[in-house]
Amino acid sequence: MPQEYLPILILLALATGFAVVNLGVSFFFGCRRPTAEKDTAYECGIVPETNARGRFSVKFFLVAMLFIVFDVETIFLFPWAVVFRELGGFGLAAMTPFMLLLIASLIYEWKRGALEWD
Amino acid sequence: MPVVIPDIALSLAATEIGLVILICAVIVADMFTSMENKSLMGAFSFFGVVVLGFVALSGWGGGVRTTFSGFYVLDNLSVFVKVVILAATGFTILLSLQYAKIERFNHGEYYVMILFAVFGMLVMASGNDLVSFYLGLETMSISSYVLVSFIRHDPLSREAGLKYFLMGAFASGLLLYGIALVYGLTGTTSLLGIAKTLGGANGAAIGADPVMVLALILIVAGFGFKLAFVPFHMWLPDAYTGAPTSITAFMSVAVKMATVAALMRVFFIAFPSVAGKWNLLLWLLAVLSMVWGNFAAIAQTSLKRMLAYSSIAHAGYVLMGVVATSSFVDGKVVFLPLGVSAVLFYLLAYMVTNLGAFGMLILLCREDYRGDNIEDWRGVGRAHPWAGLAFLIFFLSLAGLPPTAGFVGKLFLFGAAIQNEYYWLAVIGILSSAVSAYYYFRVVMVMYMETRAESQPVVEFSKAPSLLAVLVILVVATLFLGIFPGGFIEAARGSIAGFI
Amino acid sequence: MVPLSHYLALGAIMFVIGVAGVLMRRNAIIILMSIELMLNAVNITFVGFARQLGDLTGQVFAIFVITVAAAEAAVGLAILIALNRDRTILNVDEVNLLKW
Repeated sequence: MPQEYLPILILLALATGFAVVNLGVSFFFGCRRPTAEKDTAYECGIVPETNARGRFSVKFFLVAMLFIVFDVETIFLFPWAVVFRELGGFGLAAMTPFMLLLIASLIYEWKRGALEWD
Repeated sequence: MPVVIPDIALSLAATEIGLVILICAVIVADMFTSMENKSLMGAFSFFGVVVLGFVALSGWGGGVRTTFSGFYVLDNLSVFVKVVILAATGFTILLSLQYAKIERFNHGEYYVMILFAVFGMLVMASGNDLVSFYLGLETMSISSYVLVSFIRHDPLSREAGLKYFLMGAFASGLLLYGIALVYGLTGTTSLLGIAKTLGGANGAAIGADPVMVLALILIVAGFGFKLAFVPFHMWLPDAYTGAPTSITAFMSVAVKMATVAALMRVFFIAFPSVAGKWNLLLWLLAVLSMVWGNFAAIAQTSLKRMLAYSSIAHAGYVLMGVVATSSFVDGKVVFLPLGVSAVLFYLLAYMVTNLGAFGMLILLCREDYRGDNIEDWRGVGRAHPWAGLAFLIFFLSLAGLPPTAGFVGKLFLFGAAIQNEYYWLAVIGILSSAVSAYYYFRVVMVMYMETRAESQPVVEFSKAPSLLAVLVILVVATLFLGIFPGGFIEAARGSIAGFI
Repeated sequence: MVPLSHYLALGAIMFVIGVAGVLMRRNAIIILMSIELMLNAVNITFVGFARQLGDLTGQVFAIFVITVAAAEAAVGLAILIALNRDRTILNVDEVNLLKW
């Protein structure tokens, strides 16, 4: 079966070759006139305000943790959505407590001020 | 493809559903309670747990009933385990009411996390499928990680939480990989389904597969970490020492009870045809835990840490009962019910005893004085005869001497081991038990024979009525189980109905 | 179609890397990441078996494992942040107030 992977190998070689050739051409033939403006970090055109390697506030972790827990809970909605019609009332009855518990926990974290930035 | 709607009998899971409603109620009530009144949440949870205990008890004697497509089973074994766990929870909450104020962690979330852990335990007790078993285990474990590190301002507690978390999560990884391999080999996660495949036409070939051996080793190691059998025990002394004392007590009885029940269900129901393989591994773990737990406890100067090591040894005794359940006749396994009932009775006896022993530590605890070293108990026995007597009774029970619960429990366990011809196991158990008497009585000696040094503060016990009431109940229960064990032994025997 | 053995080999390799990471690395965050690697190795194994057996249980199990892993990571990070509030320690060898 190794021949099945031949197209992937060719694609790999082409992609690598394309990158190497382009970078090589600009490296050898391009002209370089560096200025301070050109050496700053590229932030999609916006002038960067601080060093990109600065430390994050611990609050980011809190928000990220809260996000990931709720985010992952939604994977239970996908299987339900796929067979929503076939399951009918049973599916709704089974998912309602689940959704209620999620909403309850959202209200809890809201009320405890976990969503406040300061 | 048509969807088959399963038939779900919600009434069988009434305890768990009731517990979820209780948890939601406590969370909501907590939001509207001021910081000074958080103990109300404890009282509220306590009454909820008492009611749920009776709900759980009503499932007794109804035979084996499964629901949720076979994910959930209600039989006498699960009822017994659930009632004992709920009782332990009630005692723990009462032990915590004053203690939480002293250690300044009196938040409503404390009780909520305890209830979440209990929910996981109840699901484990009824888990009839590796999926439901795993979910119960994780609900319990994740809540326990939080509970262990609950004294946020105490570096010891946070450190204990980190160690417990890293080891616990690693253990679930091992266990899960074992489960995945079993699923691949047998094509099912249902405990009965696995037993059917392993006992079927290709069963012998699957059972002899090295991958199956690997899977069993991983599952045993996973359980070994969770129950802290030697050599998977290194997290336990730290976690138990750093955790709030009430949580140490709770984990040493309730978490162990639920995990042992799940261990018995998984191995006895799903893997009887490969019993020869796992039984040998468990035999080894039981011997190592009994010996190492007791010898390491001798060297401790902290009473809390000594009790932590002693809980490793006690887990070893319990595992001895699990091992002694299997009897091999012509290479085929026969399960003898005596072992399981001995394990259940011992866990009940250990529950009242160990909660009491940790309760005594809480009794001595004050804002500026933890009092969990052995020398903190110098002269306490003579100055406070009643407290000394209570601690003496708990130590007698832990050492397995009459007239206490621990004595009957050990008698029952060693009897099961001897009857099923595990003589070596019984001999090692009895010898290591004799060693344990040494370090328990060293504390008793300190309590009665030594005098308090000038530098030590005067003993001043907590006067919280809930704490005193629990300790009185636990002393009486320890003696009652030791003197009139009949009814409870019958209950432990009856729990086997329909199990093996 | 990719044969089952490839999934299993990938799962086994990832699992071993995860176990090695937990046992050998001393940075708590990296240990946490190694544990996540172990859980994801299990997921690959489950899904591979589920595909081979034509049985949905393995996929359902994988979904549950993902959820549990998220909850576990959240609690673990919370404990780590609490541990770092007054000391900046990530090396587990320095977490030594209790005898390790």
